[in-house]
Amino acid sequence: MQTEDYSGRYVEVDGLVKWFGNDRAVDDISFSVPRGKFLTLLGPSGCGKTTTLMSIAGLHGIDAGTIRVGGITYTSTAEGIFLPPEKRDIGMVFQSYAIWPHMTVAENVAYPLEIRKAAPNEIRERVAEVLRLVGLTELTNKLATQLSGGQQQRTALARAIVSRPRLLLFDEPLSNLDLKLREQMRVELKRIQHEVGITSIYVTHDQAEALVMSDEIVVMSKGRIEQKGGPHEIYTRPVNAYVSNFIGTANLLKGRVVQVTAPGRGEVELTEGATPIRLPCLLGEGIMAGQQAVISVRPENVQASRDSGGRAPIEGEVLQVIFLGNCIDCRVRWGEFEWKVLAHPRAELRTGEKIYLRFDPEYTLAVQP
Amino acid sequence: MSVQTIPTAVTDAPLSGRWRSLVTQESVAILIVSMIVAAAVLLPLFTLVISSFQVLDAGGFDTTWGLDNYRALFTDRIIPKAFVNTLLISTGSTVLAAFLGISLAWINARTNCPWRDRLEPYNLIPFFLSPFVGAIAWHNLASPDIGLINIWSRDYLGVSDHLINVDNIYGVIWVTGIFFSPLMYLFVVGSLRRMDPALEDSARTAGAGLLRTTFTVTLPLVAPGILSGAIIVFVTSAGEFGVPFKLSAPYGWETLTTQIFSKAVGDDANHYLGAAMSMALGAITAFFIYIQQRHIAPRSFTTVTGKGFRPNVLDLGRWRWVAFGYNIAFILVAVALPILCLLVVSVHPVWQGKIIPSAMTFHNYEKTLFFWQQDSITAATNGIYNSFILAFAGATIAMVLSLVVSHMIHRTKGFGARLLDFLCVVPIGFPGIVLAMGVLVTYIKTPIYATLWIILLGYITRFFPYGQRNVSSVMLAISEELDQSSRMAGASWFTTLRRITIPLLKPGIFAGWVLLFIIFLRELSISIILYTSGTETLSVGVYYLVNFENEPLTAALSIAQTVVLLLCVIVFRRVAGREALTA
Amino acid sequence: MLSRKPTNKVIAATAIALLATASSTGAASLTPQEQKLVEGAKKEGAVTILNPIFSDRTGRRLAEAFIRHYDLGSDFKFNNLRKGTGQTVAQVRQEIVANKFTVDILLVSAPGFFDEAAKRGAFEALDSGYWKNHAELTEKAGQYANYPYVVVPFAYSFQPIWNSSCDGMSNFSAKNYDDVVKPELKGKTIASDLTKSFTYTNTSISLQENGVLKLNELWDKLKATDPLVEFRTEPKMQMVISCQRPLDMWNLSGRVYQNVLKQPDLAKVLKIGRYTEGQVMLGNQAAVIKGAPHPNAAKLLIEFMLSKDGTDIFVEGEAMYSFMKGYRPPPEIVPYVFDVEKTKLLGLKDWVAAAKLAKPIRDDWQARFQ
Repeated sequence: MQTEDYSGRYVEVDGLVKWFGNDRAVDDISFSVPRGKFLTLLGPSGCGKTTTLMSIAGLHGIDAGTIRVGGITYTSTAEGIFLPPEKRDIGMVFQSYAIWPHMTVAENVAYPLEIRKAAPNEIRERVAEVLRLVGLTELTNKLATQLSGGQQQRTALARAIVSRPRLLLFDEPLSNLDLKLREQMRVELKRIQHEVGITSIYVTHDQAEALVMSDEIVVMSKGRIEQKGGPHEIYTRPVNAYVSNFIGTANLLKGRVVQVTAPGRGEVELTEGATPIRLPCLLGEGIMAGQQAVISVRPENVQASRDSGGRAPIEGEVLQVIFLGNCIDCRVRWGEFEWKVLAHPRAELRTGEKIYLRFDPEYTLAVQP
Repeated sequence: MSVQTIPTAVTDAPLSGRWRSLVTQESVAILIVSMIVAAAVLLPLFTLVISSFQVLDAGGFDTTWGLDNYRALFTDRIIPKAFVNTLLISTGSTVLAAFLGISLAWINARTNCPWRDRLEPYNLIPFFLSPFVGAIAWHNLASPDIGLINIWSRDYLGVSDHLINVDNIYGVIWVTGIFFSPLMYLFVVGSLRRMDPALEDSARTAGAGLLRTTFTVTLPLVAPGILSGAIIVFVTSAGEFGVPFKLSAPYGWETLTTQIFSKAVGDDANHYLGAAMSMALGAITAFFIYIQQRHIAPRSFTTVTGKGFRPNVLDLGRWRWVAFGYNIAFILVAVALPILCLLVVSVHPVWQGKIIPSAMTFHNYEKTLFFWQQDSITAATNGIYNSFILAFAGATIAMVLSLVVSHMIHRTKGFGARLLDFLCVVPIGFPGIVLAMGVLVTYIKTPIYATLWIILLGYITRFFPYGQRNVSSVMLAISEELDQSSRMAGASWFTTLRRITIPLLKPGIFAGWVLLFIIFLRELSISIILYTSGTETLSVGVYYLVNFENEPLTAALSIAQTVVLLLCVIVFRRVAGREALTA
Repeated sequence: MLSRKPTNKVIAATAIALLATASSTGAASLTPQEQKLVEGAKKEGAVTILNPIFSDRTGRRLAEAFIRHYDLGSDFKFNNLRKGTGQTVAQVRQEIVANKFTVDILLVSAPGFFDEAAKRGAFEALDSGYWKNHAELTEKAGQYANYPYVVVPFAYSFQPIWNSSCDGMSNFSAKNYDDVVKPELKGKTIASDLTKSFTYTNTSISLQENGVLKLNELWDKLKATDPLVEFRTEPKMQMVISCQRPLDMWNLSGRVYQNVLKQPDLAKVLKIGRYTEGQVMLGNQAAVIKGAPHPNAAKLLIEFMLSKDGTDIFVEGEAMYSFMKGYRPPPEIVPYVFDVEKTKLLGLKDWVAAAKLAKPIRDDWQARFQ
């Protein structure tokens, strides 16, 4: 066990680069994970998140960079170090679960302990404990081929944690489950991870999953990191249009920063839509006076009403009204632009009517394009 | 729960230094296997290339460097004609095999032909038998003067001369085409069965009838499979030795393989010229195989998913009995007729073209099989014994090699894997007789010369790609993540192989083993170059009887070989199941 | 009274003792050359003779007789490796070039090869007690020998063979080369492939060199009979037996004999002729390869084959011809062989030089038949 305290940066990934042919799949990625925390790599397919995960697992090599876990260097191109995957003490849950069909649930779960040459009664105890944790005790001796998708998933999880590894890696483990099961498993997974307290890195393209489960999210695109931060921060303070759009939904309009009124606050002029209007807003990091920016307003932060008085609002026409049960998804046309608005379920909106939109400066963001 | 009682997998300090990280179990194994495969495959070819540039002088012992061998390819009286004959035979066989294979596959996979499931195993039988034996049988059936069919047509139908004649190039095409039609069948039937019915359904909903759909959707989708099969049949026909040796060479139509054979060990043996011819033949076949592997096989349009498909079945109405009749006719003509003919010939002491019930005896079987008897023929009895040993040992070694090589190709990345993949396809492109010449010249100075070992080496070199492709196709169907999760759980590369990969591959491994067993048991082209007294194989025994004894003895040993092969087919079907022979 | 002259009794006793020792070796007395080789042969324990001639049956009988004659012990392994003429030469050539030997004796009709190999020192020098019995007749018959390296234990000769029970053959008889290419024989003949075997080529060369006939005329007439081309004697014999092609102008009487052994009633229908122009004798050369694994056993086997006991075996098994002075073949073979001393034998003065003629003669033949 390590004597030095790496708890703040238990997993350290530094300057990771991986080429596939001419394609720079991972382009200089750096991040760290504190001990016991849950980090998600989030992005669409092809963004490099799975490649990063595989590199940490040691299932393939890298072209540049360093990967350290708990003070031990797993991979370092500078020092010429590459620890093979079976020596990395990592528990991994694969997208397809990878449950071995020729073994029972118990045999699958016991495998890592057998490799580590644990005593048979230790193995039995540990396996039983872990199966209880994931809720599969009745299926202990069932053959793997007889399990449902959800049950295989839990078996995979049990197998990953049974040897108390230093690190847990998840490769989109919920993407093959149906919606209800997915929502249920998200919460389960998080609970179990919290209970066993193993540092975890999770890969997904589902932003809702990321928001529910993570302590920290790393949003990736085309091999690079767009933004790192906690769920709330990422959601409310996206740094650019991409992150805005990827997490939740956002209305994104082109605009220009007219002036900076205070640190982090300013005024923008919208260059898209029916008329060029000016709105007070928050300025994202690195946004300066005079530059082109993207104005991001979440649908739930657009106030829509039939009342035209008060602060100078935007006048638009209701295009579509979709009743979603707990809210109304309303589309409003404003010139060439179509606003997405989430309105209260009892708002009276009718297609074709004029509607007035108002904005709260605290929730109007100017971000990098 | 005390964590300390179970050691973590990270026990040592990490390996430092670049070269230490290269020396893993996996990389050492890859290196060793690659060297073995490279030595086995590349050395003989290399020797052949060198030999082809050595020109034999008049005395017959010394050589000089030169291009005369290649010049002779064009100037010799026979070689260019042999080349043309080879092309004709290959093309003809491919066309015939394609016609038979595709029609039978379609009937089996897409129509309501009665009992089509029961018929299928019989459609495949010709693939497992020896084409050389097939040629012998057809010679006895349809040779102009002594063929049974011609004799009957003369006696009962009043035909004046002969009805059919297989002792020519058409006979070679006929026999080769029939014996390779199962290859085509397998390529096509697999494609047809795995096709997603939605592809055709969408054509049907757009208004196309079933027949139109077949021609505009189904067949084009199967086209890559057909093309792959055609190339394999073409190449295999070009490398076939036994059939032209029996049916066409004696009557004036030589082929490249029979010429290579006579140049290798014929009267004025000049194996350097044989090497040049081998290079020419090998270059052509290798080219076709390359095209097939790189450009056609990957373009498979059908997807393999876990969902079971119920493909669309065409209702033939009354015509389904015609289809049934066609299938039965194929089985009768391709399988039953030749075997019956051989049986009849084998029980006569001397064959004069007439069935003489009073003269019938099993004495020929005693002479060829009963090695304890005084008057048994050693070449024949040795043949059975040696072939079994070679088949058992060879299939086992080849499967072990296939397993390791497949694992390396599909589970590792990088240059080594691609090199191995390429090395594994190379032997398919060279006919057995060519490879055997290379093996002979390479290893003649080593202790394995004139022993069973050199024959074993020839077999494994030539045929282990077949085992490897079998294992590969099963391995591809098994997710890579199953191996990866074992690695993540802490198992070394070797432990993963032992506990996860091999148990999951067991059905494919066994299927490959039986396939190789059958191929080795009936092999002729390699054995005939490498054998000596005491190391004759079963097919060499038949060849010996053809050369030095008479038709009935040849027929007896041929029947014995056929019976053994048929038994193997039954075992194969039992164990491997229906989908095992995926091409 | 003691005297220096041995008494009759002593003489008799000595004679009996000598006879006893002689019979205890299980054979007639061995020549000093044979005696020198027997111990070595016993120790070597095996011999491999590569040849295209000996059938399984002949090989077995030769083995039995050889082992018994020299009392080599039941463990002695006799390997009769039979391959086609070309294949035997090819194998030995390869082994010589590779300097790796699995064959002890090469026995085949191939004067060109033997001469070339002997020049290269590839053969052991033989010390034969029996060769002198063969040397004279061998030379007279115009055969290639090269003692002490190459001897000729026997020869065969191609004779016309036909099946009198086939259509139109009941009155047929072949006494000369014209008889076998008559126009009436259209569709009934076989043309032996010169390009596949030197034996046919050498027969042709000898006929031409001895002025017996003009080859081109022979080929033309043969071609007019629409022959089937084949070179292996057994398959040709099968064609004759089955009436596929009832006449083979060049086949071996030994093949007839072997088939009669299998089916005795063939003796009535298979006929053997003889060419009055002369029978070309194809002597089969034999030599022991230098570097062979069992040199003593090999030399001993050569001795055996040159002796009467050995000669009897392959004459009976294969109906071969021996050049041993005063040799009489066993009675069962007599109907199948012609009397060597009463027949016109053809050979060549210089087989090796004549080999240069091989290519043009083969080309001529090929031009017509292929």
